[in-house]
Amino acid sequence: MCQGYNHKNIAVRIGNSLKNFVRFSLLCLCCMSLAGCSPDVNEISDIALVTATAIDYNADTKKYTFSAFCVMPSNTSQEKSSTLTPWISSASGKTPLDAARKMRSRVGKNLIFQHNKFFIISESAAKLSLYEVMDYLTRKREFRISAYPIIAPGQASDILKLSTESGDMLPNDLLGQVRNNKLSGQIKPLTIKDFVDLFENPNRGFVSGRLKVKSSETSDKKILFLNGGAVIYKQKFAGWLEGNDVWTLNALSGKKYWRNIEFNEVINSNDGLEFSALFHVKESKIQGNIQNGSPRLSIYLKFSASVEDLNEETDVGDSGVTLQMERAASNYLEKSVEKSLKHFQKDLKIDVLGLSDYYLQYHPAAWKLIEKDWESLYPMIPVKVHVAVQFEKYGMSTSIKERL
Amino acid sequence: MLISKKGEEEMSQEPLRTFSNKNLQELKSIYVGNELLLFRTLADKDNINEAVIVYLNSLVDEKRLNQQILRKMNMDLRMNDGPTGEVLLESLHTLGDVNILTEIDEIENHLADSNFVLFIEGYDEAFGMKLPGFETRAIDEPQIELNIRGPREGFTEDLQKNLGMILRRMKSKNLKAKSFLIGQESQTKVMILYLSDRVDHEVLDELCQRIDSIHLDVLSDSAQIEEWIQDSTFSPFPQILNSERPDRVVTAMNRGKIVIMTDGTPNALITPSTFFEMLHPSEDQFERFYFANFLRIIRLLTLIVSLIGPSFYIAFTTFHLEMIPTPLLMTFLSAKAGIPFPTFIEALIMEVAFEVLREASMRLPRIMGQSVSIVGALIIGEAAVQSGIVSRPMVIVVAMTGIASFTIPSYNTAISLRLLRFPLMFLSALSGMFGLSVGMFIVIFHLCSLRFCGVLFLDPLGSEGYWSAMKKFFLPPVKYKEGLHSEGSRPNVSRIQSQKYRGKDWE
Repeated sequence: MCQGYNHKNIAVRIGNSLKNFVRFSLLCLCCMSLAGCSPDVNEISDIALVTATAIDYNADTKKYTFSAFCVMPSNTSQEKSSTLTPWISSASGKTPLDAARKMRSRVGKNLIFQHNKFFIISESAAKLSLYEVMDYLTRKREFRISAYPIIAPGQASDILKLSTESGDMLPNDLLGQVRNNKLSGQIKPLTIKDFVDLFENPNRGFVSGRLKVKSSETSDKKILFLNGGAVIYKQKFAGWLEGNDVWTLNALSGKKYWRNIEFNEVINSNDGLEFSALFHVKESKIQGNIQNGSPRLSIYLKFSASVEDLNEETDVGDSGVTLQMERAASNYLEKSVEKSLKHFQKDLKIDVLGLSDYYLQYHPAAWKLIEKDWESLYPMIPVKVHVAVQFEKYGMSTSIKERL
Repeated sequence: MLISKKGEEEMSQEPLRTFSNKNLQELKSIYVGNELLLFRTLADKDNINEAVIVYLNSLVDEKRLNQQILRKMNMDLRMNDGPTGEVLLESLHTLGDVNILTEIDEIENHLADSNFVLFIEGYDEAFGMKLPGFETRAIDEPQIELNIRGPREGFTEDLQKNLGMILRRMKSKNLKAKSFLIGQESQTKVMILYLSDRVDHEVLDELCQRIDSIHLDVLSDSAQIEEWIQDSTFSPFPQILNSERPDRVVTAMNRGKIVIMTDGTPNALITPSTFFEMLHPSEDQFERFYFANFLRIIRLLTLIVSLIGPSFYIAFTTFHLEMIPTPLLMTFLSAKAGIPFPTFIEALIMEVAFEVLREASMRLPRIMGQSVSIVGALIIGEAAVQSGIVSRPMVIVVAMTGIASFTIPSYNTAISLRLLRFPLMFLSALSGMFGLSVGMFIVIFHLCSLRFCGVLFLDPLGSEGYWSAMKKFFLPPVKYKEGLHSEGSRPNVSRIQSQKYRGKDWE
């Protein structure tokens, strides 16, 4: 195992190693001279970040307008405080790509779309050319599939020019509103990934985010906020949903949609007691069967709740009182859910809850029989709603009245 | 305990003659032109030197020679009537250990090793006695490997003192020492120390062969031995650990390592060493295991930061802007506005400036070095940013990288990481994360290929099972560790390391 050291052999070996070392060093030197020569180099000082994009479609001219809300620094590195200047760049073209390329070629910076969080699609584009728009957004790698496509009434490019109530940049404010959805549950912010997953399904519709414009309560300027939803059916925009209906939709969708939502309601009990409570979905279940070719559905919803305020002195420690409060809350929520379901079935006539998926998954044989008549069957499906509310917290004080 | 060995190959050996004058003339002819060789006649009769002491000035303690040895010998000569040679020899034996020298070469060696040699007329032998007179540094706190807790003494340049420090700590009968003389001219004494029951004897034999093969004129530092005996000459990584702490050396021997001590240098070499041992300072042994393990993890992180910190920054900000979180990218955007250089050039300027400052502050006297560091930090940190030459994030990255490299206890390893940082930066600037990945693959492949005497450099990675590797990498509590020893499994013994690779060709 141990070999003796022959100095001649060592010299030869070291000589060979030295040659290899010199060759490797020369190769490294050549590589060094290539540093920075790559065409993919995108220096940070040459870029502008696109944080929101508006897509419009003009039915008369059949042209798309691509508008980008860009951000670039307005200070120099020497200044201690950093400020960013937002600006909007816009261009029209025959296709979404054509418009986007024209827009990019007209600005003096490299536009980076990877940090774009919102694609605001105008109502007209959503109605007339949603497929083309979504196709472009999903084909390009630079658009992140975690961005939110949001439908807005009117011209989308005008929306980019509106300010927010907080004064923050539009995308930051909208992102904050998406995060705060857990306080109301009245937004359904779908990402591009989820949007496209549901986009192709001919039997069901789905709801995406909706942007509204309203007047500020503190100033006379118009502000933007996310509320309600836009119904997409058969690859087209099909109508709007209000916040309460979106809440029902969230509660009956997958756990990832209702897990963090905690909404408040004012409940009126029969005996004149009025109280506010925070509700949190604990369990949501849809059960259905098909009898003689006609589908039936039962919806079970369980809520945990906490009492936040009462309008009169009430002993919330009394089980009879709490039972009555729970019944009142259950009835109220049951009616609210039934109202929303009625709207989905009778007014919209679009399966936004994905009941067709339920039948396909759990009753595949029966689904084959009813699939072709699904559009006419859906509005007629009898749905039974069961809501159970359990109050878990009543607050720290049982009474604020002075005890004598 | 000590096994002595005549290290150098036997050269032409000239026997001594009975006429001391002849011997002296021969010695003079060897040392012709060397005025350091001094002769002190003790007794002469009829112009024949009956007894002469020869020594090399400055190597021998002249004060003691005059005041104790020569005075006593002269006194004994005056008081005794017997033959001069016998009287002197009897006197010499009462003064200390006497070496009997029969050849001129032996005399040369002894003179060089701070002996004085006594020639007596009529004897075909000379008599040497060690009387070192040169000054050595006192034992001091180690300068590089500083500890918060633990022993405070470090090796000096004196081999005897260093050996004393080790032997005081390790009293086992299994401790063996083997000496070598290296350097044709310098004749430097080198010793290897090991515990015979723990060492891997195959590694030991191989190491001895490698040390025997060293052919140098002058051995001035252990670094020369290190370079000579390491397996991969052109590797940027140091493959042998060096330490100036006796406690570390003792711990290493206990783990089956072989320690190479060199006269004239305070750095002991510990072989076979692994990469992870270079990341663990001796202080790990003296801290509670929670903290020690936490520091080990921190050091792994700083290792990564110091190697690829600037490369990551270049790759992210030049090629992969999508990988930076939006708020951070916006901060970078503001910070980079108006900077005239590309990120890569900016990083290169800062890294080179940092290395220059580090080197300058190290070479200058300590007080001036501090002021250079402060001025340098001001230049790098504030003036460069104010003048718009570099951006603030770049200053943070370079400073973090620099500080991270200082946490690596082995100075040599930190240097190799600093060196490798530059090619990785070039590769990042060439093709972003792809280039960096290619560079890291090369570095990791190279590390995997490194061996020392058959022991994997990356041990315990790849040489043992997952749990054994964890046990080696993380420090268990002392009781648990001792328990492992008593069960017969010594997780840190190098013998285990090489067992897996038995039969591997060293070459």
